[in-house]
Amino acid sequence: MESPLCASVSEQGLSGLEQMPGRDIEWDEERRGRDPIPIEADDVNALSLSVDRPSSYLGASSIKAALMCMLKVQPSLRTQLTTPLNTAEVAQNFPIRQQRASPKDSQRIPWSWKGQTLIDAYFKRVHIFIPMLDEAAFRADYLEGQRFDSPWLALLNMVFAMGSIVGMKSDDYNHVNYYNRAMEHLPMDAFGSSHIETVQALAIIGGFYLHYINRPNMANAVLGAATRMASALGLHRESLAQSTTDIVAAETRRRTWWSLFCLDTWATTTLGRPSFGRFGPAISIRPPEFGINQVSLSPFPRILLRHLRRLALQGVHSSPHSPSPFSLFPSQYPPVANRPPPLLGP
Amino acid sequence: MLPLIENIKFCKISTQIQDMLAVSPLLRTEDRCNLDGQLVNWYSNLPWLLRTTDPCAEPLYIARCIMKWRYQNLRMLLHRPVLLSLASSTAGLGGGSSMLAHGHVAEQDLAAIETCRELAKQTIEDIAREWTRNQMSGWNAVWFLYQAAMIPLVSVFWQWDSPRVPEWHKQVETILDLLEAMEDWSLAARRSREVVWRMYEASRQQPTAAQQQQALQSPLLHGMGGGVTGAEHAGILMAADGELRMSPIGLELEGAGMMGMLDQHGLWDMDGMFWSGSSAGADGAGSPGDSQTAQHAPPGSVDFGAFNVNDQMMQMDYGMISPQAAAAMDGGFFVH
Repeated sequence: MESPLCASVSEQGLSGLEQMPGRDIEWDEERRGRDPIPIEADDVNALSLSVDRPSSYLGASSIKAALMCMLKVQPSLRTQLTTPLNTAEVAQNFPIRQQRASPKDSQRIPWSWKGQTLIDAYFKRVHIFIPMLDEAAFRADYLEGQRFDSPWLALLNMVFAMGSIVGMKSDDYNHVNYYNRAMEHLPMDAFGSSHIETVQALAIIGGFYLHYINRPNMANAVLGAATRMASALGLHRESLAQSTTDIVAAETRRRTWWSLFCLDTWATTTLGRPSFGRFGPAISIRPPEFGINQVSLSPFPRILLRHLRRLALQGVHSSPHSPSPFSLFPSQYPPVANRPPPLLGP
Repeated sequence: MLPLIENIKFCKISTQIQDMLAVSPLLRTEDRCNLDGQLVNWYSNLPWLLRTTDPCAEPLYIARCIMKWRYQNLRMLLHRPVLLSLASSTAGLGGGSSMLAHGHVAEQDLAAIETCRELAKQTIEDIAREWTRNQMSGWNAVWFLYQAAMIPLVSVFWQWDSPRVPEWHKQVETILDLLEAMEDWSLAARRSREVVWRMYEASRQQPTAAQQQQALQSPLLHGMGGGVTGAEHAGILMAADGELRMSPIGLELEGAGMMGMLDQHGLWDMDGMFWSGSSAGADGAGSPGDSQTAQHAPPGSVDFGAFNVNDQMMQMDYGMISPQAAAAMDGGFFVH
């Protein structure tokens, strides 16, 4: 670019316009069934003018970017924007597709030995290929049995399905039941979901399960859709990963993206079709780093995690005679100084 | 995490390969060698933990086995089209060995074929030794064995006059035994075995003069002339006057028909085998004229229709061959 503005245009300034969707946000299109949002408005086209709600990932060429820029330059604009638009008052008679009733309390899945066995099988034989789940958090959620949100139910059932496959012989068809239950929570609308669990569930379905039951074209389509959903969440952007202090979430997102990438690659090796952009210059998210792997993310306080990360990058080798690099840590954490790097796990 | 990190590197190369093969399955030699080199490089740079055969925890064991099988498979896939192309273009012109003996084949193509064969052989040996009794291992093992089986099979059909035929037959027999052992640990094992077995049986018959004659008339050599009908893609692969024998997978398995194997376009990939299970349906004994019920599943496969699998998405029409595959069957396509 030879424009005279080149000198003053900084990547810094522009990247400030990128926003990482938070953990509990919902896209406007998801809320649509419940909240009165005008038909023509959503967060992507910014017609809903929801300046404070984080949106799906949108780059510098989006309306949102222009809006954020204006707000930065002219903060007073904010107050003017909070007044509802006139057109927002118009009641819509747009026939909406019948929304499924949101999951009820009664759909909670209580802990069981059977479920535990399936989950163990999953983490033994599937997770190593697609380590996108935060194992400790996932296991804890299952143990508590309190969640009943659709994304979770879909994901849990797919973990059950895969656990069932890798834990049983080929003539056991229980996996179909789990798959069917997962699909009840994944109507077509689910492609508009902002929840990472939905993406993860679809990754398992499109990357593994549908291939297992010989639906390769459906698998291919589902995985393609999941990849696009991931990009709506900004999973492919390193800048977003860096911008957050929630290391656990960032690591989960990073691993989810790369798991999707690998699944898509493996599944399409013999299809002879183009790769449709799963890899390219715009995919700036870096691969996961060596060292932050089998360490369970949830129970560790952030500061401890950062310390471990620093040590791993420095390539610290412990020997019986050198002071343990972990001697600074509280004694409740298992001493790891004389064990091999935390790669293998149980 | 280490497996994922290395898998990402592998998949980046693989994606590159896929995109190039999507343009044309027959790469230029320098491209093929470059990509192969990247793969070999990746493998030789794997951390010790992923290359060693020392005992380790199960997740790591299964990860590194499959990583290796997949790597060998991809290398093989890079070179396999050379074998297929040569075999197709010389079909019916006498046994393939005479072709090679008379120096009609370029040096680099010969090398590619030999690499391919070596990889297939290695794959079979590795999988035989390393697979374990669970469906994650079995599923992958069956898939990669099936891919590798094509090499000795095509070799036997093409170079039926070669002294290496017994060796190639032995490889196929090993595969057959393995597939049988894997039945409990892979949904596709039985079906794959059946397909490989039929081809193997066919390959044990010496080509007759009639078949050689048919091969000369094969549409493959003459490009897609009027012999191709849209209705049945299998017709493209069959000799014009040949006896049509509808196998459960809808493709002729005799002699000259083998020349039409074009894995890159999904005809022979694992998934392709099962498509006709729901659309073609008929057992091997039927002729094309038999009515075919959609519900009848070929023996040995699982009909998930009975389980009311919840499909909220539109079913793809598996019966149609993709346009790019049809285009690629033009015999002239492979001629460089």
